[in-house]
Amino acid sequence: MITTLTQSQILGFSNVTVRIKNEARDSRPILEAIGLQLERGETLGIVGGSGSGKSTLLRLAAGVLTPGLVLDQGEVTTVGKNLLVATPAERSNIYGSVVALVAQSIGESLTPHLTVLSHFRDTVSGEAVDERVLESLAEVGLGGEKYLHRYPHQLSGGERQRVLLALALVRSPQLLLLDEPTSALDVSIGSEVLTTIDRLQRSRGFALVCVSHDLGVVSQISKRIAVMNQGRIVELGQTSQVLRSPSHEYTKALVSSIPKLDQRIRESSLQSNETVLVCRGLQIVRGQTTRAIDSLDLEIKQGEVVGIIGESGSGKSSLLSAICGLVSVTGGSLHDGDGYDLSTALQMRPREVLSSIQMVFQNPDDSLNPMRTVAQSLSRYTHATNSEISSALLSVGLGEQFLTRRPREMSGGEKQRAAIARALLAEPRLLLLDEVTSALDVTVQAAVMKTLADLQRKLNIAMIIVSHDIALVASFVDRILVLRNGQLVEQGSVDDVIKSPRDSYTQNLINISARRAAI
Amino acid sequence: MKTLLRFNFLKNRALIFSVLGFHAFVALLAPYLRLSSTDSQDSAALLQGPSLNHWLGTDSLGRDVFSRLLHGGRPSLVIAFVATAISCLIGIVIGSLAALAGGWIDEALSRVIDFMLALPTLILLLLISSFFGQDPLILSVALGLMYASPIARVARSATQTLLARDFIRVARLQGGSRISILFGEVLPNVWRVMFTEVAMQFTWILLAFSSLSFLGLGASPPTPEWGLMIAESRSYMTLNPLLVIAPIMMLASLVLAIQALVDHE
Repeated sequence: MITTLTQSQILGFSNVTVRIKNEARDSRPILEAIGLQLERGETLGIVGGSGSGKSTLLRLAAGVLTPGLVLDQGEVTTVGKNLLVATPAERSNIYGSVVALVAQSIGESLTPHLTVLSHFRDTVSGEAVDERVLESLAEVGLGGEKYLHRYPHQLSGGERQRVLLALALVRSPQLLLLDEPTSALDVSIGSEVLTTIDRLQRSRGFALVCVSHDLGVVSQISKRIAVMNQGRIVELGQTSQVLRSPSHEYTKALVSSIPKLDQRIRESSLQSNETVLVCRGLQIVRGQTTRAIDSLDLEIKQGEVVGIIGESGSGKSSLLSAICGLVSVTGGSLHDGDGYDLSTALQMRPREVLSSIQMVFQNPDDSLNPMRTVAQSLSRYTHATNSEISSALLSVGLGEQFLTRRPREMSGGEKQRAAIARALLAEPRLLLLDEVTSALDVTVQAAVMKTLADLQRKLNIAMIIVSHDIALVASFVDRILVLRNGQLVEQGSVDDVIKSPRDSYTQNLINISARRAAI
Repeated sequence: MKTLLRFNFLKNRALIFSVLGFHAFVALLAPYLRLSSTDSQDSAALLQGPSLNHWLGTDSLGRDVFSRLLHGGRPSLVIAFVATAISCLIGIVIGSLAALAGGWIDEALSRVIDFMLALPTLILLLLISSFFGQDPLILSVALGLMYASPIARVARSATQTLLARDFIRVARLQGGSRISILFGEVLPNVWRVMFTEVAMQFTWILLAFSSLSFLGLGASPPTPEWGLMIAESRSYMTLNPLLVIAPIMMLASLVLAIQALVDHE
């Protein structure tokens, strides 16, 4: 069966099923019976959790079947052709001029030893190359000749994403495919990139498919949304329609788990007057001279939850690392509640001090030893008994069966829960949370935050939570600190900071977040 | 023909495993197979071509080439196993210690590793074996020491990567001592990364010992050993080419199969 597209259509999937090569036919396929049509000039967002098959789908639209997978049935037609069976010559004709794909990892998509201009030499030829390149760079917001001769390492993340966009658009494709265009960027920069994409789409009129785990991202640039879960499109419709009245369970969970600025998942609890951390004029120098943190004053009380917000490079992770002792303090003072000097090196700290401050890290895949079972990982340094481990696991929502599991048999959310349980077994007075949910899907993220809120109320421990997501932080903490270039630019209760931000950067973050929440 | 050309021998699992299985079978069971003796000389039948009595013919002393061929891998394999074990032990301990200790200890150990890497292996081996004689134990230890440095280098960088991982940080935050982190968290994971490197080293050591035997300083006559067999027969290559080709094929197929296997993993 050959799917024929009508004159007005540019992309068609008919009953496409993709499986893992050599896997039994009754196992769950990667993509299952996908049917989808895209009109010329139309914008479609595909949203879904990790493993939902959204990237596989996008690559198929570009005529690429991810290695290790097989097309079980169905047809993919892009601009009237089945790209999967196209000859290499046909493909190179189509790529760039008809279909263009911007892949996910902006770090790896540019060749390190080539300048921006040389990247264009493969795609643009003929007369007046420089002018045409300049023109297309200006279009994506990189005006001026200075960008032509820069190397990828001289560009910021946002600039790299813009160069990739210019490269994709320079031959005026009719269909642009974007894979997670903002996931590697800071919130404010990602939002600017999206605005640029939106503007270009409107002026040039190309069709657009954008894949993201973030409902906010896709809804900003697409009129229609497809929601994917476990290899199937569970909901497809106009963006506003899907967001306002989601019909499928998964979509409902997705929409409701977007953190909103005015919604709290944890109520402020009673705080004692006992302090757990005091720092005065704290300074942390990393590398030779870079001041990661400069003259910071901070005091945290027993049971208080403090949120720190900042972009990459603002020093928020350095601060956490210094508090727990992984990075050394270069100036000022840092003490715990009993007056113990925390500028002491990690190996010199007594055991009680070590246990009293615990940290949970960002990447769930990295936080457990891959060779050990959960029970082994949790007991090795805490010397907890089996029953203590079971109850700690239970308190983070993991059952007995996880005792014997290894990290590769667990999802990201489960691994992160196990990591939280391990931190709790040390019985800390201060728990440091470094972007603990940023690698998780939105629905999982909401559940983990809920668990943390319950634990905080029950155990009344102090927490510092670092995140780039101001809505997430605002829904959880008692006090917000905003860091920029190592300096505290704003500090106050959640209400104060959200309702009347004094700093323009905070204002900007709140605006972006409000826009996302308003969708 | 075209399909045969396109067939990738080094990527065919079944082929790799059957070659390795054949070598394992032969190396383990050669003494128990009903082969003619490796040492009995038949002065009436020197340098003969293949026949029913002597499947691959005879060498210049009238010994059965087929029998010697099947026995010929045993000395090198034993020495390669012992030497690889020694180089692994030394290399992984030194490499991960350097990474774990950091500072001047790392600097010093790294320079020692660089120094060892700079030494010309074969010439040093020749010196050692002419000095201490062709004792298999001494040769294994010498090979093990010499091939420890590449392993140490890989182990050092593998450990450094591991040390930056969060579960090691957590272990430090929860009061794990350096030793317990080394043995509990680092080494088991380093070993996983090292497997490929170690298997490659094994093949290098195998080749190094056969080279030594070829030069007359590895296995001593009349031991059947592939390198030695090539050396003994190369003057008669024109009379019975199998004398040289057969041991080369054995050595090459074994080395290639091991390398193809680890490439696969």
